[in-house]
Amino acid sequence: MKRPRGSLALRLTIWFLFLSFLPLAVLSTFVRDDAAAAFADLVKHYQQDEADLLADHIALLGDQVPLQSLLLDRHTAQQATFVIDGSGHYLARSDAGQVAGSIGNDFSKEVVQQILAGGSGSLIEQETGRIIGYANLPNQKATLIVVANPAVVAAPLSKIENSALLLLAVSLILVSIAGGGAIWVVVGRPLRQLTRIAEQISRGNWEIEANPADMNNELAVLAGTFNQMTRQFRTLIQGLEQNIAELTLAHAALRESEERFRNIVQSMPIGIHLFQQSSDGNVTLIAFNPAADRVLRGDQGRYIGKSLAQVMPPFLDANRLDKFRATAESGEAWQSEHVMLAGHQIVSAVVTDVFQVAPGKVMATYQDITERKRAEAEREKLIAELEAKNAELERFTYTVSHDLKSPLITIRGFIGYLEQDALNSNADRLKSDVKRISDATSKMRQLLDDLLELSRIGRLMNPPQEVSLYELAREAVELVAGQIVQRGVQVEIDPQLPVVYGDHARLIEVLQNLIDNAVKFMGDQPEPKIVIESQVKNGETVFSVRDNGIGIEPRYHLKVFGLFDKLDVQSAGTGIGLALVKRIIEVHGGRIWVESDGPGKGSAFCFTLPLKSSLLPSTGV
Amino acid sequence: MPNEPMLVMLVEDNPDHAELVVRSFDNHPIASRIVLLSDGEAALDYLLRRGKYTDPSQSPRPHMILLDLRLPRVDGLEVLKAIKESAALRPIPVIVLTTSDADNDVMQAYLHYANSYVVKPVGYDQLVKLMQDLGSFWLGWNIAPRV
Repeated sequence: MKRPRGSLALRLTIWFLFLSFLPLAVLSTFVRDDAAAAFADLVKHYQQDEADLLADHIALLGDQVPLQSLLLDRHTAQQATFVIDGSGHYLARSDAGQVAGSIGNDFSKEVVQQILAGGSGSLIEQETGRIIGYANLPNQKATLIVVANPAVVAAPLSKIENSALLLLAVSLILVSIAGGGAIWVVVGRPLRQLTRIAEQISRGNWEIEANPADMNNELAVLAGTFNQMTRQFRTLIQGLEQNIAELTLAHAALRESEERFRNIVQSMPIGIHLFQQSSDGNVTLIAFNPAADRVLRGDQGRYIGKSLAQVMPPFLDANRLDKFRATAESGEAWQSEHVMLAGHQIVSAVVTDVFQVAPGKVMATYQDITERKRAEAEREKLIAELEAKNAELERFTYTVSHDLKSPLITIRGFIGYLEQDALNSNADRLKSDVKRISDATSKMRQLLDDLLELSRIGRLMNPPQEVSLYELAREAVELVAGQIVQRGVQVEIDPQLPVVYGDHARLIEVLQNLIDNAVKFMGDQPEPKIVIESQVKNGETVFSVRDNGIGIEPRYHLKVFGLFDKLDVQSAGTGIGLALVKRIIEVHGGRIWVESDGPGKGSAFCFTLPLKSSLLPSTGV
Repeated sequence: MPNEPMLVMLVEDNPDHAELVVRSFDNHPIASRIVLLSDGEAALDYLLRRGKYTDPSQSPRPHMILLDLRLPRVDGLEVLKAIKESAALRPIPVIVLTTSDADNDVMQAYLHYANSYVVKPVGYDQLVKLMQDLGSFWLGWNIAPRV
């Protein structure tokens, strides 16, 4: 607060002094003028007396003493005397001036006129201040003039003036002291106190209070009101300060919280879209977070302010638009999951959650679950593989135990009969029974060898290499050339057969087995023929070994690949051939199946193989 | 039933095992005749009187069937199922005679209404005893309806 110049108390005092000075000054002027006038009258009166006395004196002495010398006797420094005739010419004079002149030379016109009017009187000359008394000389037609020097009255006059001034000064001093003091006590001090308090308050010191006991009358009331006001202000300010402190804390907390949430939203891996529905029902994007760019694969900034249909990720179809709008209106939350595939590969997967955050405000979150989906798919694939492996292993154990037990029963059974044969001396039967036992042991050994071979396939693989299937087929045909020639089979190999990736020796085994099988089950076909070719089906290359032999009924199509399963008991071999083929193909990451329209229609063994290096890790049985 | 010749049908793909079973029935007091079929299809042809068994005189009904489970062409279980689905064949006791003692095989056999399930013993004495006992029980003690 700007402090005003000058204090009220001081101004009051000045005004008081000024106002009290005026009447005093007027008073003292009048007193002085009155005193001066009275003094002048007195002096004139005296001068006239002086003139009358001198005139009488002259009349007494008349003719005895010359007029001139009489005047000279009366001459003083203070007073000069003149005698003039009726026309104003000097008859005599006490000073050294010319007697020959008239009074017009020495006195003013007014003085001359009054004196020449006759009689006696007195006056004061305006211009010089000389006091002039005059009287007629009775026995002569002459007039006596007595002139007193103004200096005679000057001293007493100045004394009177000085007294008047002194009086004024003393009065002023007394009035100042008394008035100023009174003002000081009655108004100044309380005002100063109030001013001080006001200053303190303006500096923020609300604790200070005025003391009304120091004052009286209206100022006391003012001070009391002042105190009450400061108290109220104090309470108000304390309340305000507390409110402000609370607000400041709340604001800081709010800012901190907002900052925290912003950081979370900015750094969270879940993409966010915030939509707002305007009054016309339009739903537009108003905010998003960096994760949205990543999950939705593209800068979302270009969609700000755009309508839902433009912003909508491509995986959400038109149906979802309506659901979005419904959420904006009803607040109904929903979730959907989208997996984008390229063939069997998961390109991306997103879980979308849509919910209302406030009336007309809809939030959509996009969670990238690609890795999870891939892992799930991988896990399911592995589980399926594992289950298949497990089932295979179970079948394998079952088969092995059954097939190995079978010759054992034969051996033990016929050993029992050997004794009988010996007792009965039945040499023929003895011989045949021994042969049965011997055959069974051979069978057993063969089975064990086959099992060993089968278990080796997984473990003993040569490093994969590029193999021309055409060359492979030719080599395989060479290996079974004996049977082929014997049965007169015509073999056709497609020279366009592609290059595959795998174990050369094992793949020869596959083709050798398949060709061998085809020859074996030619039946009574008069023009036996085997075709080895490949064709592309559903994006993969399928190889086939086709024959025009006896064919296989559809119900046996799976069974032919079973371990030790033989469709024809009489046929040679243990029945491991196709199981072995299947195992080799599967270890290469391929599949094998048989196609045949039934008995007499021929059959085709089809299989796939990796064309590039994508061999599965080898696994044992 | 005495004096009536009892016919046993043996469905077995392994000729050695078949020979062992046949020999076990030698000198059996009740089982006098055995008909051997080496695969499931042949067995069904015989029982359903089709193919080369269309003449009923060539395919008399057996009084007991000894059925192996692992058979070429038509599986033992398929044969069992066909028998039990046929009203004419259903009363014939079917005894599953196999090398397998797998729980699943036992369960599947009974689910397809096998009348009995026995595992081929490894050992001459046991095998002979089993066959004697089976014959005595199913052809002697057991009463089956005439078919």
